[in-house]
Amino acid sequence: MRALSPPLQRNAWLLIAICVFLVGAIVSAVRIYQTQTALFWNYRTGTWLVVEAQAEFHNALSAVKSFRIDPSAAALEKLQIRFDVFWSRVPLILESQEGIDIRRIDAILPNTRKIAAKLPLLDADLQRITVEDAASATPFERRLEQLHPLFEEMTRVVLVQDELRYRTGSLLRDTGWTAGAFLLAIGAGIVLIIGNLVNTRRIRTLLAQREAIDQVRATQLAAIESSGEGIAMFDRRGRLDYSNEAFHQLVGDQDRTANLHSWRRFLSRKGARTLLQGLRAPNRQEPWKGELTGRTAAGTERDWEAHVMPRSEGGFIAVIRDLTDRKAAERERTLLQQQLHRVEKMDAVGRLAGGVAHDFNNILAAIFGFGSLLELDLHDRPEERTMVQQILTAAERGKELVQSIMTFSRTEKAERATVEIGAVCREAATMAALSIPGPAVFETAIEPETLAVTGSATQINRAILNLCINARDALEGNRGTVRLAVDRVAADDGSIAELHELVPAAPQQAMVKVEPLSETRTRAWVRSLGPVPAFYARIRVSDDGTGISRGIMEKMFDPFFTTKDVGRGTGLGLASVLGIVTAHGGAITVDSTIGKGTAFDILLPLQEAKVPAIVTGPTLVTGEPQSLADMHVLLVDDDPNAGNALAAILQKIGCEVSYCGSGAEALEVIGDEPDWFDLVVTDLAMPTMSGLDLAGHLRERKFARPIVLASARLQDASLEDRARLGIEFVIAKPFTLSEVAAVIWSIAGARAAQKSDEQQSRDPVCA
Amino acid sequence: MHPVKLLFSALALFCLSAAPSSATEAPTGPALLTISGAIGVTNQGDTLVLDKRAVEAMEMSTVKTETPWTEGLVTFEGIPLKALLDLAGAKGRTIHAVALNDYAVDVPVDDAVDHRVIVAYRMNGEIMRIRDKGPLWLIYPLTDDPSLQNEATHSKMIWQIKALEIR
Repeated sequence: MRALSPPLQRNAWLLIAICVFLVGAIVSAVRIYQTQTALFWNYRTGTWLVVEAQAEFHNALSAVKSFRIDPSAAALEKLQIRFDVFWSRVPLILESQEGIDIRRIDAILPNTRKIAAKLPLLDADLQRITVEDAASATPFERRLEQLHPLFEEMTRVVLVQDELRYRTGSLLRDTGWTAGAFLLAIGAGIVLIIGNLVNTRRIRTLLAQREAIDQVRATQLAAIESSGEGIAMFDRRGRLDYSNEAFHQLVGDQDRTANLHSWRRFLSRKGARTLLQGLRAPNRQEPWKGELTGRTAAGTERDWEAHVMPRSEGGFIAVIRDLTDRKAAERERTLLQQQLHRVEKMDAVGRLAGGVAHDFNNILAAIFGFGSLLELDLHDRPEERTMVQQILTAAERGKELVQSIMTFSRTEKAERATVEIGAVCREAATMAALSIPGPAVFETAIEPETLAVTGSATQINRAILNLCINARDALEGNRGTVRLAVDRVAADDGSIAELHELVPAAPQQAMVKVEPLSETRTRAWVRSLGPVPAFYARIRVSDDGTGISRGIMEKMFDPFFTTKDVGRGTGLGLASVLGIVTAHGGAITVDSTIGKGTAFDILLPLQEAKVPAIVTGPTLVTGEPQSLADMHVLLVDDDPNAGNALAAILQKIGCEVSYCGSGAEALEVIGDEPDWFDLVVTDLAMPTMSGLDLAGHLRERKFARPIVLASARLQDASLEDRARLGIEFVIAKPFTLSEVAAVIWSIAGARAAQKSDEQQSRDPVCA
Repeated sequence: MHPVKLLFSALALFCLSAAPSSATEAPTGPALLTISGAIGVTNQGDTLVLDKRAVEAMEMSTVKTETPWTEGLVTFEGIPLKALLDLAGAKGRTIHAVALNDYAVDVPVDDAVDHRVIVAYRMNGEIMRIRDKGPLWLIYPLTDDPSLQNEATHSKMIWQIKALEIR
């Protein structure tokens, strides 16, 4: 069966059925024919028996007539033989197998029996015939002739019957053939019907299969259509012959009927080259995967990830995913991570530096304190005094350094007051001008308008100075201009608005965003978290120096990063500027071109409405030292270095000093003798009980005398707290003798004035 | 060959040829069967004529068979056709048999060898008269050999034989 071709194989059972039917029909037809022939033959031999018997009857009759004409022994013998032959035929009709059929015919048996009955009589007549007497044959002849009608009837009946049989046979044969033909026709019909049924069933199955395939195809097509990835099929000539909706959205082609475009239309030159190389690879039957630069109908280039599979009939299928947005997001994320990393680094460095700075201040306090005492003592020994002055100068630099560290690390909390930027800038300009030597030129352009911001004048001043010094250094001693300009700018002004959009509000700290504008020009933005004001005060420090490269710009706000020679820069200048500006809720923009110069803009939010300027601390009295012999001071400081230094200075200027190492001890001492002390000088940051706490307890116990805070972290005590506790004076650590003296003298002066008032009120007569 | 053996062979041939000599003698009674044509032995002109005496002198063989023309199993006794042909020294391939009523049929000589065909003379022990389809009837052993049960054989079973012509 396997050797058969598929259609034959399907119809094998049908073929077998046809063969079986044909063989059966042929065998049946042959058997019918044989039976019919045999029957017919039997009958014909029977007929022949009768006909032959009649022939022999005639022979015998002829022989007797011959004898009567010519009576002779030979003729008689011949007659004898003819009669015997005739006789031999009669029993055959009656008894033989061949005669079975004709014996059934009416008149055969009775007639033959009559003839047989006559035979012995005829034999007797024959014996009486003599050669001598011809007439002796007459009885035999007559008797023989009597048989004539019997034979006539028999022959006629048999021949008629034979004719009938023959016709019947013929009819039967014809009927057989007709029946055979009919059977064949029926068989053919059945075969056709079965074939048709089989065929119909097969067609129905095929139709059902095709329907199922169509359905699967429709589902697949729907899936392809709804796919988020662009799918496009190109024919062997590279023309688009199918594409889904997503593909058209990718290429920005609204008209989906506009097929037959070449695949090159959808790729940039570079993308086309990449794809050609990919498709020409040796294993070209496998899908190619890679990134391509696509091109939209509008002509913009997009980043695509593509899977390209060859089609069996030629051409290829491309599955495309747009990576442009994802790549941009990835770039943004990388940038944010870098920025966050930098912020965290700065934060860590800031915390470390802030901690160091605080302890360092106490050390400096001791150096300053004892140094200044020593300087005073050595007034008559100029050589040693110069050495001490060197120590104090170095300590001064150390103090500035610590201040810078505390600024960028934002451990320094500046006083918040209304600051007039113009005034601060003019003051800074005066100082900057001194530090910028020729041949460089220093210019200022400060708006006469009052620009009020909330913040610390000292810090702003320091920031401006830092920028001016950097600008000076950028000139590298060459001829050039450093320019300080101050103006007012709206927050929705072009580039400022851009700043707000481009630099996301940082989660914790300021973030630096560097943007290359060209090969040589770079811009940087820094913005702190805070509400966006309507206006900024813009302080611009610009130079026409060497400019800042992109690489440096990315790092220049980092603490301890410097491009200056060792010993010349601390790497804290811009870090402290950043600290100051972000503490003020401001922003910085830098625009620099290599070889042309740099412009730094400090943007500080302008006050919405006029805030009355807070009265600064009481004016320190400078003048003749007053006698402090009766001034009894209680000094509280947990740090023995700083405490001892301050105690030494106080004693030096004539005060009587009692020293306590903690607030609890001080309370105990005062509790014993509340009126004993004219003044309490206390450190601010102390364990268990701070200076402010101590002041609070003292005021609760009705201690009305002045309290002075001496601290490196004066910003930790707000003006409100100081006002509430009646703390008028402060001493900033590290301190010099003159600074301490100024405070003590001011208090002494106030006390003296009070005493005279009291005296006057007590003794009005004297007034 | 050895001379003694040769002598015995000659004697044997003589004895064999001497036996049928009585059958081939010129007939004395009325002719029962006349054999003519390609034959080597004659006794009356070109023919070999056998009378009743000559036939009865010959060795008989028996065949028991049924026929379409007789009732039941019949015992036929007669001369084997082969012996008759040998007697006549027949050289042809066909026997043209003729009956008393001049009905004739051709019988192949090979049938005499292939089948035990006899020229029957007696039926059930009785000499057959002309009215019993005698005196001679060519009988094939139909019952013993069913392959002979066909129309062709039936037509060759000629009765009331009067002459055989060897062709």
